[in-house]
Amino acid sequence: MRFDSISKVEELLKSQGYLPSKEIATVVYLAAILEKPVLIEGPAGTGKTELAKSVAHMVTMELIRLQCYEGLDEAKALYEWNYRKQLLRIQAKDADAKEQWNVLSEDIFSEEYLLERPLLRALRTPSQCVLLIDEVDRLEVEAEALLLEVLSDFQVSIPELGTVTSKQIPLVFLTSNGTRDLSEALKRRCLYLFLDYPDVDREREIIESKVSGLNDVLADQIAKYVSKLRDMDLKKRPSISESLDWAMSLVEMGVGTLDRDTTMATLNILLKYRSDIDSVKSVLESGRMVFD
Amino acid sequence: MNEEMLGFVEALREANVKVSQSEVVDALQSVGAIDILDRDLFRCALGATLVKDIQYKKLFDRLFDVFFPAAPTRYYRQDQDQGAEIDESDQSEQRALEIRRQLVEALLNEDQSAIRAAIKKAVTSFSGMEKGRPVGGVYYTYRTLRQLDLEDVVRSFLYGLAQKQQYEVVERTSDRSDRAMRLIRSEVDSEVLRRLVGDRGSSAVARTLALRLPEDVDIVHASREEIEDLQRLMIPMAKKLATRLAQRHLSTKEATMDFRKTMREAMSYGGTPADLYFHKPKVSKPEIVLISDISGSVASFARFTMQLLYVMSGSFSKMRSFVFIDTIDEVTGYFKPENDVNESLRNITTKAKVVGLDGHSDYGNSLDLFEKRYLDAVTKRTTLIICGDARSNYHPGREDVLRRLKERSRHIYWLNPEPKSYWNSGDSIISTYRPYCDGVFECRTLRQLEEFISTGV
Repeated sequence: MRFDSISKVEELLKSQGYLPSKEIATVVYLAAILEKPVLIEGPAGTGKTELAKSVAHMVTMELIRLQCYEGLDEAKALYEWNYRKQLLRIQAKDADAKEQWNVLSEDIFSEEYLLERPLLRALRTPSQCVLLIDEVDRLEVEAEALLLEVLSDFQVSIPELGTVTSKQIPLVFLTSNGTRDLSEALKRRCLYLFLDYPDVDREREIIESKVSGLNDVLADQIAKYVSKLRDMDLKKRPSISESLDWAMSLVEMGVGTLDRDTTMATLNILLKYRSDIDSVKSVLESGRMVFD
Repeated sequence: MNEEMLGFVEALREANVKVSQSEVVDALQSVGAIDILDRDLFRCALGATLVKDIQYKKLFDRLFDVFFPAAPTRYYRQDQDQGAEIDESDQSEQRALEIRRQLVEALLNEDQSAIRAAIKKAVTSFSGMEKGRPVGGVYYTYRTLRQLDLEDVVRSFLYGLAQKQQYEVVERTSDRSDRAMRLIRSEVDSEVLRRLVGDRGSSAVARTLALRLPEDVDIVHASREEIEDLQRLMIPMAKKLATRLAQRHLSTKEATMDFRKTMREAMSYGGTPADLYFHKPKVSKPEIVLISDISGSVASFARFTMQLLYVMSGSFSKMRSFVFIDTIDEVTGYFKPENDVNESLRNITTKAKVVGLDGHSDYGNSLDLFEKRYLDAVTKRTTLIICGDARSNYHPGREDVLRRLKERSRHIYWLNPEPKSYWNSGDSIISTYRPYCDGVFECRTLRQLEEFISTGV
């Protein structure tokens, strides 16, 4: 899969309702050409996972998703033998005692008893797919090594079956919230993309494209106000999806322009911690953040 | 082209950014795939392939400007320069007024290219740059800013803002002026840089800049801007450290088998224990007692250490902290989970009773008082961390207290924010304390602090 140009990528992403910055489009374009995975880092709620989904949609490829968590191992990420089925097969043997063990053992370690997990599936699907490895930073260091073979050579060794090499090289996206440093080896193999909160202009565009029935002034106010909140020292900064929620609620409430009272009343849509809400309220009350 | 690229990579590596050979190959490949005349694309391509950590981004951007400047690196017009160098007459004052006016207008319109044009003029007229003169860029930046009269520009800018009617969310004026000042400064800086590069070549300029990553900055001597960068780095770093500690505590313990669960699950395989289950190992968290010298010379370092340890206080089973100058006071109570760490630190500097006599640090007296008042804080499970430069101001050191503390505690570590070469010079008595510590570490940068926490604690 190759894209014609960077602007083509931009256009395709836009058609999926994802407004890319130039950087995003460039990295996606390069990833397709260099056949390299993309490591996306950034705070929660900036559209990391959404980007991978949109890419899959725009090129109409299957999206295979591996959600990482502490304790994820080979059996959950790569493949597993279907014990139950194997046991049944062995027990079924007793009825027909002539069967040789070596025939049997070959049989129970064949395709039929293999349970494919996301990584293996991404390699074995005949047509190119998009592989999303979500929240890699939750993996333990040991489990990260598991990804290395897959991501550098796009192949996997299964002792009983031999090496599985992929027929096509999937587009791979890894996302991370940066709770720990990923290993150098993993980073080296990836292109890097940092998705920060959007600037005011991009946020306004996003809000305008996703929320209908919004006037320009309000969209602008929302974007500016949210970016202002993100500069404050908060436990959890409002994400893009939260500012969208806010915009939608304001439209539902029939608000034309923001003022202090409406903001006070609707803060709980943007902020999810008591202490955050309190500190913003006190700033609002003191008049240090004012609306004209 | 390749030459410049390799120089660029070399400069990145010199600044402690890890760039591997294969990443350089990737970069060259990706550059081949895009239109390199588009500078933004070029920057994106290099950024995505060479720099895999957001903290390196700022440094990357700065070096990128040095190696791949926006405008052709033509040297500025000689004649203009000579005029401005010595000319302090009315005419130059006239020009200065004109430039200021342009700049303010550009700022008000938020017109990037106009701002840049005005800055260009300012640098040409004010910096007094001469070809081949071995002066750092800082000097030219300083000259330009002084003659531009930054204060005046910002004042007119704010005045202009007040005139404009706007519906938008109005920011505090101090924010606006801060931002304008910062913008002008960085623009002047990069313009000067661009000209220097034209004059001397990228690699030479990169070397004079001596760029450092925030974690390599000497904390005690950091500038305000560097401190801000450090602050930004602090929280993510503390979180990462905490994860790393948690994983280490887990992995070093031998897990025992959960027999009951294993047998229970085996039932679904007809009694064959196909999967083994293990008890979750018990996490043993260290107990920390932190004693920090907060006298002027090392205060900023003490702040960082306290801040870092408190953000990751979940990783310790217990944490108490004490601060001293010539007397010691407990400050554990100031750090409450619902309080902001920065606010707690402010409270400590204003409220803690640390000055008894003269306000010069007295290690001996503080240690003695610690033993008398707070000895119960130290038990066999305690890791005691002392932060300070061990400059006693010629008071007695009272190392006997430390000896007794060592017997009571699990470990004693000493973090010294002074360069190793200064130790034991003048009134520094670090070597008298050394025998009673399990380790004495030079700890000038965040990187060293991080290293200590991830290995020592």
